[in-house]
Amino acid sequence: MFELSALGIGWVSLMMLTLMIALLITGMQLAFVTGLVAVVFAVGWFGPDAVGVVSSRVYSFVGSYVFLAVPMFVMMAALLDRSGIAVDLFDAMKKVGRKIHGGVGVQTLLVAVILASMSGVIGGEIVLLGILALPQMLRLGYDKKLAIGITAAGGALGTMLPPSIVLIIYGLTANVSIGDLFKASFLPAFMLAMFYVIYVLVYSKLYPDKAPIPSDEELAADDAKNVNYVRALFFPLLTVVFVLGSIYGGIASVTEASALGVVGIVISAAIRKELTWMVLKESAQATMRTCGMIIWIGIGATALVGVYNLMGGIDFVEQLILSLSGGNAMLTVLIMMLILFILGMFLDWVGVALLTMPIFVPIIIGLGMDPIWFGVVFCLNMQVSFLSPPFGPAAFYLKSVAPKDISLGLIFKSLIPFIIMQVIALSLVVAFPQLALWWK
Amino acid sequence: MSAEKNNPLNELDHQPRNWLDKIIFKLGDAASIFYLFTVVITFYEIVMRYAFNAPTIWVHETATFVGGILFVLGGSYALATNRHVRIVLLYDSVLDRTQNFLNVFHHIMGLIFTASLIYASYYMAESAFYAPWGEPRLETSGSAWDPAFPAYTKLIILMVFVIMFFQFLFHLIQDLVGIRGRK
Repeated sequence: MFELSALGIGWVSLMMLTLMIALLITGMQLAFVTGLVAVVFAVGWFGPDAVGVVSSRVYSFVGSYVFLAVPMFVMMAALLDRSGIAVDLFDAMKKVGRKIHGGVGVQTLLVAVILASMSGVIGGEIVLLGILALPQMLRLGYDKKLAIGITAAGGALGTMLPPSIVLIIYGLTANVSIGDLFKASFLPAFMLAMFYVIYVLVYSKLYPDKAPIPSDEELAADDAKNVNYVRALFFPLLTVVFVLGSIYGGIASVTEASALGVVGIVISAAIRKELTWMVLKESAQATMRTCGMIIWIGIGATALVGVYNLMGGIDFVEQLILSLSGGNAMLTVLIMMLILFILGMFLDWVGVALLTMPIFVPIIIGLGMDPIWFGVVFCLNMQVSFLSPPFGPAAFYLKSVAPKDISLGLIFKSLIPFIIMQVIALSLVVAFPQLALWWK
Repeated sequence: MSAEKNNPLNELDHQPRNWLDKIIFKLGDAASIFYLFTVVITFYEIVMRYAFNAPTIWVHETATFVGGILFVLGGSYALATNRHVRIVLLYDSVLDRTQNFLNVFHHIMGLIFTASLIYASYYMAESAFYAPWGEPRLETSGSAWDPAFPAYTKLIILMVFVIMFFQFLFHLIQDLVGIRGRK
């Protein structure tokens, strides 16, 4: 066997990174790239028996109870997609500020916030808003860029507002309370949503013709539509209260709360007479699809980190980062955020979280900072990478449902002001950790 | 172009490619119902605990076990339907012929990965089914209820890696035949 350990951890880290990037560029699946690199270096450093490290990592990863919250929240989103709850929500929200410029944009953002507190996945919500709200805004004559930005940035909020799968995975990796993470992320997420609302209002004030008011006929048509508010709002909101209430109140674990959420949406759908066996079956299948993908990225990444840790790599990176920052807490956080940003351009967020957090979180704790706060910082970082080129998933999801003439380039251009707002929110949370930790 | 590949609504890219993939696809769709089962029993536990003050001893471990199996199976399912996340920026911009060669390369890498994991998870499963002194016994969870779920999970991990090995093998054969056919 070739003795990689003779080369020293510095060179081997570089080799691992190079191999990983090279394999990724060929278009090989992320889950298998990380898994394979883990195997190759386990064998190269320790000898053939070390492959056992990888398989035992697979076992412990899939046997985690908390992780079960992921498919349940995915299923909640899948059920929402297949019921008319979102449509009714949007119709009900049409009453809000409909006679001011930018009103529909604000409505869309409000719907996005409510939907976000019912589901924690990126994708589903953007697709929903892209089908519901985007055509409405375009029809009214909204500026294309404004409408696109509202839809994609609003939809991406799903991963920031609790219950968010990004936070669940962070909590698992960093070994901190997910309930605390949900408490901490609420205010920053709400703040970000408010930034968007203020932006839309100010923009519409400055350029009223880019965010027109619906015509009188249209308003009359909306009034004629008989929205059953109890049906539209009461049960979905009750579900939100139940899910978040049981987590915040410490009544149920996150997994149990997510099961309550699924039951709540199922009941809401049943009351609306939309519950069929087909809907349940399709939602379960959609869950299988999404989770197989998410969890295997996790399996690969956790295997790689496990092997790297045994090789002493985590200590190496820790020393490297600390020597770069000279032990300065703020500088360390900035370096980490730069690494997160760069990785976020190439890897899926699950991979980013599982690869970096086992290394970053001990450093954060060692420097006397709060890992809960860092979780919120991470989450905001991922918000930025959801919208940023070249791989911003939000843009791709929106593209899949947007009218044909809206190009990917236009979507990314439209997102620039929203990315700036995200960076402002991120800077505020970094500069004022109380924003995330006021409740402590 | 990469928008097409990442398009979640584009079902054409996600069709199973051969009989094995088709079986896994069907099996995965059928098994997905068990996600609902984990919801139902977790809800049952909450009701029992708060309404009847009678927490169960089996829900927690059963839900974790069922979820774990679905997670492992999901990898094979995603492979059968080509849903694993990849970076397609370069992959999408090369010629079809080059893409074929890249696919062949991916399958070979996949074969190396799954073969190593079959080796590793075989030993992991073996020690869950036999005591170190060679006597058959099942590894249990060690809780008050003490089910043999760890042993079963380890066996299923081994089985899924074996299945994935054959998925990669069949994809490799299909793509090699495709390359030869084109010449």
